[in-house]
Amino acid sequence: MSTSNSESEFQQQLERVYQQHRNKSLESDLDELAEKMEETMLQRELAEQLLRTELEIDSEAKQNVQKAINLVEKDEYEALRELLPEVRTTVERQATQTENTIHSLRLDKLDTVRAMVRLNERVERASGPQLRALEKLLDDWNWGSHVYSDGHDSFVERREAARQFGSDMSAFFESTQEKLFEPYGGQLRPLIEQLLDDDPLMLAKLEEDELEALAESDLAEYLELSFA
Amino acid sequence: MSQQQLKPVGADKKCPHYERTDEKTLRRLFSKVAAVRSEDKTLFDFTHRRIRVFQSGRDQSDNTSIYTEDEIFRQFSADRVGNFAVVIEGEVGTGKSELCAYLSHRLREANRPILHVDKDDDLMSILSERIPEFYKEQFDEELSGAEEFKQLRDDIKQSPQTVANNATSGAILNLRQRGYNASASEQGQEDEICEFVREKLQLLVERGEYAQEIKFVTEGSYKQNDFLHVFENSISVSEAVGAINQELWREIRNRYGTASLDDVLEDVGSKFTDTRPVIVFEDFSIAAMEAEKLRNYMERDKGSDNWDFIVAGTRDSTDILHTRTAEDRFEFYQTNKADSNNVLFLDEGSAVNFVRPYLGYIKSQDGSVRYERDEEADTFRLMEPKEGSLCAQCGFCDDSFRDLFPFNETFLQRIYSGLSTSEQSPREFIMKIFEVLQDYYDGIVEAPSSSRGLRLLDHDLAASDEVYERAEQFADLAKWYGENKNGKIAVDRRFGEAFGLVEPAADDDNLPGPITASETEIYIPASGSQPQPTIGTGSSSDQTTDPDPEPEPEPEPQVSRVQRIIEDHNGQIDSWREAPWERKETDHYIKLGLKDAIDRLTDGFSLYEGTSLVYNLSGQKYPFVYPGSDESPDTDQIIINPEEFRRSDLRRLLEFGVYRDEDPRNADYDKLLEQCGTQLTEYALRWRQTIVDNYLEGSSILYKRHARYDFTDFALSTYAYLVMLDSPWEKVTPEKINEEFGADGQPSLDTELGNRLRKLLDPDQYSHVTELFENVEFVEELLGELLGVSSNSLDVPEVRQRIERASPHDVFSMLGRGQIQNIETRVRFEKSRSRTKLRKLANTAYDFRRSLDDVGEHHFDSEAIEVAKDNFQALSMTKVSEIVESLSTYGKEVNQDLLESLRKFENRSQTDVDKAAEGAQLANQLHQGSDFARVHAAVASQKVTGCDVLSTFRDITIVEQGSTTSIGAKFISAGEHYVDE
Repeated sequence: MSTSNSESEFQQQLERVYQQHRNKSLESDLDELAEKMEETMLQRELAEQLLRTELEIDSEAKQNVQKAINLVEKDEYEALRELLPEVRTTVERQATQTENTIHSLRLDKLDTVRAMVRLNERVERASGPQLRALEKLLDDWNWGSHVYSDGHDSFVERREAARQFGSDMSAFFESTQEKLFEPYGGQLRPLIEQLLDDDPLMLAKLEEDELEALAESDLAEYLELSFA
Repeated sequence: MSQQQLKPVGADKKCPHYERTDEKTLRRLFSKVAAVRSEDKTLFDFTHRRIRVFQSGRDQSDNTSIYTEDEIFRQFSADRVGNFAVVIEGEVGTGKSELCAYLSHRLREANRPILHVDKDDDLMSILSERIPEFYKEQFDEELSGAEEFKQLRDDIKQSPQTVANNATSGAILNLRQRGYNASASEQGQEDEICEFVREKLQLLVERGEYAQEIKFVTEGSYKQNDFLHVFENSISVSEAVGAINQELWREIRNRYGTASLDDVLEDVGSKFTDTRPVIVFEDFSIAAMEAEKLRNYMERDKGSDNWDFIVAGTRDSTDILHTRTAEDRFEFYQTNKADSNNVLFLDEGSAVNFVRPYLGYIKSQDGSVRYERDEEADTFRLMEPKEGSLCAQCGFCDDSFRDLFPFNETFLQRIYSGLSTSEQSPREFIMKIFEVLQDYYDGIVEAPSSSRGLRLLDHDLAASDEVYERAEQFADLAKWYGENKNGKIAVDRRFGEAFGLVEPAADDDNLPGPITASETEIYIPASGSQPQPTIGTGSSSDQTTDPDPEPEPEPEPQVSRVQRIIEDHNGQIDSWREAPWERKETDHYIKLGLKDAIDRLTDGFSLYEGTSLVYNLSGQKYPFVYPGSDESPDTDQIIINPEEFRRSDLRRLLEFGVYRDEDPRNADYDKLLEQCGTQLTEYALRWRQTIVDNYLEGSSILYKRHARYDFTDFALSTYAYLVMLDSPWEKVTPEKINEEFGADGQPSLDTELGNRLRKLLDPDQYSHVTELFENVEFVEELLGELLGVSSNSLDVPEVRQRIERASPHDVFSMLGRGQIQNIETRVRFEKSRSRTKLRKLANTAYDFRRSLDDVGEHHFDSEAIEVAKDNFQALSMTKVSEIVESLSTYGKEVNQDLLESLRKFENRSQTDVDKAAEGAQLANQLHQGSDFARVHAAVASQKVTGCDVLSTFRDITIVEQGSTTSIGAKFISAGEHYVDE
């Protein structure tokens, strides 16, 4: 065992151990941020396909992340540690904004899907399980299980999976909607949609032909009159 | 001569008679040999006192029959037929010679021829000188055969070896002729016999020796010297000795044709036809062999013999004359009483008159002193001095002491009384007076009462302590001349004036201290006159001449038993000083006082001030002896000469000793030391130094091969070792030793080191270490005394000098078992609860050094030193705590065992860590040094090994995780997409 006369070997060793734990912690933080960013990006990809929306990432968050990247690449961990809280703040804020936007959009869509589910339960023209799955996705937003799966090891692959999943769900939604409402063309469709929206029809306000169309439709046996 | 001119007594302190008397006269007057005095018939007659003796001899041992000298004289009848002898026996100095002288004078007056055999004459001088001279004197012709005696005497003087050779070879041949199978055939045997005989022959002519060594060969010398064994056949020792002596003497006499003493006497006696010659043996000491023949001649019943013999001698020397025949025919007298030296003519009542004519003789020459004597009543009446004589002109003395001056009757009486019973013989009495007189005559003392010769005499009258302290001569004056008068001692003022102690005029302002005087007397306070229960200081010193100083009668104070003992022995002080061993009771008290004083002054016989190291003097022994006593000083004793004490100091010492013995609580140390503390302290220090020199610093004490180390080196080395084990991580420098010495408490064995040593060493070895520490208090005390400059500081330069000269290891290495055994077991440390012999401490030190050497040789822990050096040097415990604190924030990510061990370690202080590092560094440095340094290195390394810092440190196990090289790869990957969105 040898060491310089001016330094304690034990102290050096202890400092190394400490540094190792510190770095490990930093990496953990960075990984956490990376995950957050990836989730933001994957949801954004999914939402754009499913919910037909355009979601932008805030430039401040991008700048901060870029700064952090630069520091990591230069092993300037102390500066990185100092920057990291701000990076975390902006990334998380961006994530929250993205989730909030998606939340609103999916809830809107969820109402439609739930009406479609109720309608389909009466008319049984579309796949019930698939419709339920879409409803669940929009309700729980458990998109990860569809993206983080075997074979999607890289971000690019996961992003592609998210895009594909969103696209698939969107196509299913469109086709199912067509199947369910196609028979109610003309004047009946708005009435059906009003009923699906739990908006009661006022008999006095219905036109004759509208009443007739209702009576003749496959929904007749599910219609009832009641006092308002 | 006018009266004025003849009154120099006060001025010159001497009686004019003594100024005009030459020393020769004085010496002749007081000669212890009566014959000398008797040469001057006038002197002899003036001073001779009638002698009475006991008849002794057969059936007369009860001392009942008393004869006067005149009755004895009348025994010498001129008409007697055959030889006659008067044998006067007695102890030395009891008047035998005086009686001989008296008888000689009377017989000479009766025209009897007197042959005086001097006490110093021996056989050879009698035969070769006295008898031939006597014969020549009486008959005016040479004695036949006298030449042969002279020839023999001259040959022995000038050619003793030749005489011896002839005598030896002739004697052996004579023995063979007598039928003995005698020879000196062994190699060198005859030479040895010749040499032996030569020495004996020389003794024959050396005066005094011959008288004591009577035979050529004694039974003792025959047994001791094998070469004297000339007989080949077996015979008894006494027969062999008798035969050899007889033939040696026969051979010598035959060669020179000399006759024996009895033959010569017969021959000479036969020449006197009209009178009886007298031969006087003043001190009978004739060689036994010849004495026997002389006795046979004396007692033979032959009518033609006509010698009268006067034989004086001690009973031992005259023993050969005590045959039945002799006791029937001769008269035996004894001067002294049986079993004592007392004589009939000298006792308490007659003592003054006995000596009176001796003193009066000096003044009798001019008629100053004349006596009217009553021989029957044995009294003197001092007559008026002859007109024109010195005494008639002087008039200083009165008749009560005129003939006795410079004594008075009281003085003379006290001299006799002061002699011990065994000394109360005429000679001792006279010689004592002469001794005193000579001191006065020679001016050695101002007054006879101060003569040293008086010191051996007992006399109870003593002046007070203050007189001894302030006016010792007055104390002497009082003791010998004074009379007790109402608690004071009165002395005739004329003696004080005569000896210059007081002025003739009545101006007594200058009298010292407590002394007062009247026109006729001097008053001196007596011992015990002050009512003081303990040691007193006497009465007021400002007492001066009282116009009416006659002391008023005072009631007798109540005297305690202790005081009475003190007073009884005060009178013995002077005689004690002369011969302490002869005043056993007084000596007991003084010795006790001296011993206790030395005990106190040495703080219980301690060898160094303020230390517990004492010499345990035997309770039966004193730390001193007196010079001249039979005892020679042991190595734990000094010689104290009683002469070195003032008498007043001795009195105080006596008083102190009496109190110590009889009433110890009232023994006043302070008063004793106040008076003679300086002298006693000098003894105490001398005794202490004697013990130190003999038992601590001797060349064969402690160290082997006469190493030049002393006891101080031992104490310092011991302490240095103790300091090393107390502080193993510090250098044992003089400064460090001093620092430890000045600190509170004593060095103690370092706990961590102690634990290590207990593991490493055998129990015995370890016990040597702990035992040395058990004595640390003693060692520190010693060091303080030997090298201390104050109570908490040592003489650092001295310590440095000693350590640089010899390291503690050097010193301890020279300790020797045998030399340690030479330390007297009485030298030991004593505290209230503990007691350790110095020898044991030294043995412990010896064993300790061996134990430590073992540590030094086998237990230098280099691994511990490396660990401590590498890890503890420059280790910041603050940093350690910070890291531990930071690591703690990582929670379970950190190894919990590691965290726990680190938390324990972080509780160690920075000081502890730094010290361990320094200790390791010190051990590393010392390891290459001297023997002592190597031992210290090992000791320091073991403390490192055992220290808490290192053991806590060793509990820490760190497993490093390897360096992290790619922190943030995932972040970069995600971030780049993020930024690109």
